[in-house]
Amino acid sequence: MKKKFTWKLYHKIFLGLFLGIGVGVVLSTMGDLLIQL
Amino acid sequence: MMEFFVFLGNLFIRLIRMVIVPLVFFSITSGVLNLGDIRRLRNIGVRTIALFLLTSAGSVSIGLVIANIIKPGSGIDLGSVSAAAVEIKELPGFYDVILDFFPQNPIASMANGSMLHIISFAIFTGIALVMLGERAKPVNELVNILSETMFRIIDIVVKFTPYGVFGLMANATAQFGVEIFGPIAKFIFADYLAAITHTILVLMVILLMGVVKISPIKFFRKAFEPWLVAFSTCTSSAALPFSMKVAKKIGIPDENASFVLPLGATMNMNGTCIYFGLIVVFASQLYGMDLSYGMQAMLVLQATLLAVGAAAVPQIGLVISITLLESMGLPLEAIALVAGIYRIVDQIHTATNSFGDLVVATVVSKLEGTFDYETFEADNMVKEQKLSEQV
Repeated sequence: MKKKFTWKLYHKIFLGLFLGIGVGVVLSTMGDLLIQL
Repeated sequence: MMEFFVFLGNLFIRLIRMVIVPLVFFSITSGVLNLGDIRRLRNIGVRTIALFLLTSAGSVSIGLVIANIIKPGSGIDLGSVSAAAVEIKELPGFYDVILDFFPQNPIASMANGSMLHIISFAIFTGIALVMLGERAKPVNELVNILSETMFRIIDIVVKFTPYGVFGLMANATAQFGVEIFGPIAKFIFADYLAAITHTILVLMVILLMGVVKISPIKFFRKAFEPWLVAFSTCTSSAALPFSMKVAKKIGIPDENASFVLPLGATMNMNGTCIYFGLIVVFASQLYGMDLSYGMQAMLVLQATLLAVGAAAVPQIGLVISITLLESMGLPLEAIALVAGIYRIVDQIHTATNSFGDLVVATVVSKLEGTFDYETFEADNMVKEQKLSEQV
């Protein structure tokens, strides 16, 4: 039987970590682009 | 937008800081009380500090070896980097370090959040309560309940972790941006590689598999939450409540965890020691200087003692590394280069420190004969189900 996926705290922390890195990279690149423009 | 991310991160750290002082005080006092025997406390203390020293010496050595292989300092143009930007701070002397273990005024130390002071006062309180025997029973009960209360507060705060981690990481990444891909990238890579090597080789293979004889993968899965929190907050004390929570799932008895983990958060700097080895070789490579084996051996000793003796304040690694470079007659420009990206490497240092604390607590429990293998082997799912059924 296939095990049903349940969100555990560390899954959510991981998601927060990667989303944070992603948003940070986007924001810093946007900042660099704005300076160049 | 950025302000909101900073707010999220700061709110998370503040919620954790709110609980740290009472948590450390009550859990250590209750830990000493539950030990009930002062000789056992001495054994645990001696073993803990010996393990901190050994693992720290191991991590400086690994930092040195990796730096000698990868050579992060070769080929970097120093350009406009100047040592003038480096602020030199004095580290306290030997007697001051010993004096600094004890508070002048425990209430003031609690108000300032001075961890070493709180730890020593809690140990004295616990010992005194044990000596009082039967008469102290009502107080003992109260201390145990207050310690449990702090853990319940943590259970609430923990739910906010993903948002806090998100805010902290978004802010940190946006600040550094592409800087991490610059000439210093090799240093960052060497630092992460050394930290991972230390975690796998010393902590997992030698200590967990060799001494405690348990699966390091299973251990890491259980210890993952504090590792992640330490990684994103760069603060050992923020990860402490998480470590104390997972210690129960790992099978470390409360009386050991409540003593070893807070002590580790202040004294154990496994990860930071890796950086000491790296930065010294990095500085010597920047100037094409050769470090003799004798100097490197001396560095292992000096860095280990400095790391265990220095108080855990944010970015203490930078302060100690300045002292190390100065004592070895190396130029301080290396610090000016690294200071800009220190947070990026400090993340893996703090995560390694916090993981090291849990490993040391496990080894100490095993040596004491109190490590609970049954709890360690038990499946989390089953336990969680049982707990929810009880509720």
